[in-house]
Amino acid sequence: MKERGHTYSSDNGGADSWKMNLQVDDKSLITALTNGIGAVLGRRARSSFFELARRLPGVPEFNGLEVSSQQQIVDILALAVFYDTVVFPLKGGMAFQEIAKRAGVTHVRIGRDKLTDKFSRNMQLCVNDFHVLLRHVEVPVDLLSFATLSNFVRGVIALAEQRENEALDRQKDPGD
Amino acid sequence: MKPWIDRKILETEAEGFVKRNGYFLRTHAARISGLVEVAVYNSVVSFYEAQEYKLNVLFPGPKKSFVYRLKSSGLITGFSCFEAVHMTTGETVLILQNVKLQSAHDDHLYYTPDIVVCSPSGAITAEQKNGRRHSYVSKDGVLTFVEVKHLIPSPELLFSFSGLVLEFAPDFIAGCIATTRRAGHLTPILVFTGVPSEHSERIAQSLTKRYGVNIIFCTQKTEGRIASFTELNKYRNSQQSALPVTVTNDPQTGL
Repeated sequence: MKERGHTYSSDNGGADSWKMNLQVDDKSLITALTNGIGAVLGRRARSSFFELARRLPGVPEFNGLEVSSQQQIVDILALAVFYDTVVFPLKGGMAFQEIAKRAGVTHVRIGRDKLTDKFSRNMQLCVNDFHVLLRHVEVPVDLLSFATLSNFVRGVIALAEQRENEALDRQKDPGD
Repeated sequence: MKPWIDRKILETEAEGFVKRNGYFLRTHAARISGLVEVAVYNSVVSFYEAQEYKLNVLFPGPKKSFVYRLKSSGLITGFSCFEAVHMTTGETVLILQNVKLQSAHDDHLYYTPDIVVCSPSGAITAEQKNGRRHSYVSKDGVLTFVEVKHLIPSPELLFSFSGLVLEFAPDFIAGCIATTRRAGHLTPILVFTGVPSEHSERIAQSLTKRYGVNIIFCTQKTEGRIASFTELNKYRNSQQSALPVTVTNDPQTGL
């Protein structure tokens, strides 16, 4: 059986320690995303995720939610951290290659390391594959970029409400 | 709030993703981590491109390649960089990687930021006393610089960035330069790949309010670029664009 939930302490020695609801599973998804990608990227993604997850119960909007909604936010946070650690550098490399090629360059070298066509293709495949995953679970990529954790929680809640409203509209006007 | 994601599907999708891409990610992990700096460089280049600057590659490598500079050693001409020329005003900037920047207070002091934007006349290659040549960006030619840290943002790092700006672009600390959210040039930027604590976020907010600096954390990036350019501090450069020059000696430092 999978271990569920963590108890986290805040920065001030636990005087107002935050507790993640024990029913919220903050391990399964980040493990599924990082188990098999190697220690370098995996460790970075996991430590970043647990640092942010530790602080989630400190966000007032998060605390007011039901367990299933909190779970949703924790899962999307895992996607966001994975995106940042793994997908962002790949997209950055691809975007840079595009800009360089537009400026008339044939290929890019990072120091002595040539970004080969094969590496570029693999980057593209990996990025596309992650976007397919996001599409399947209906998470827009913009949701994964945020300035503060509160903004992130508010963003997820706003999207969920927008989806609910759209579903209601469809029920009212099935012809649309 | 009503959840919409089926967790079982999400986990299955995640496992499938790792199954398909795990080998590539495992075998190229170091290379992928190194692309973060390239992504930030790309963000700065894209910022100028979005403002109607035409991009040219200077100093291409063999077979017209773009050679990204990773170390501070070597001359500017030994590595590629982008030159951005504004299509209307003709203003020209160079976007360099890992080139030394001259102190604003002492001509003999340098530090190497990850990215420097300068006017063409600011990129100097000069001969030192020992006969060796070195390249640097002069204090008068620097427009902005970017520091990328593969670390978790800590108060020490955040506060010490103010010290760097004070040494190399003090006008942004002294408040001599009016900052705006509108386009122009970006003020000095500190980018972290690590996740900030709440306290670090608060420090960053305070510093960016007080000084003309930008602090970007790991979660503020998407599509291979820094996501929130509109929210970053910028300024208008009052200096006239100078013609590109190659300096073969260094009258300022006497080196």
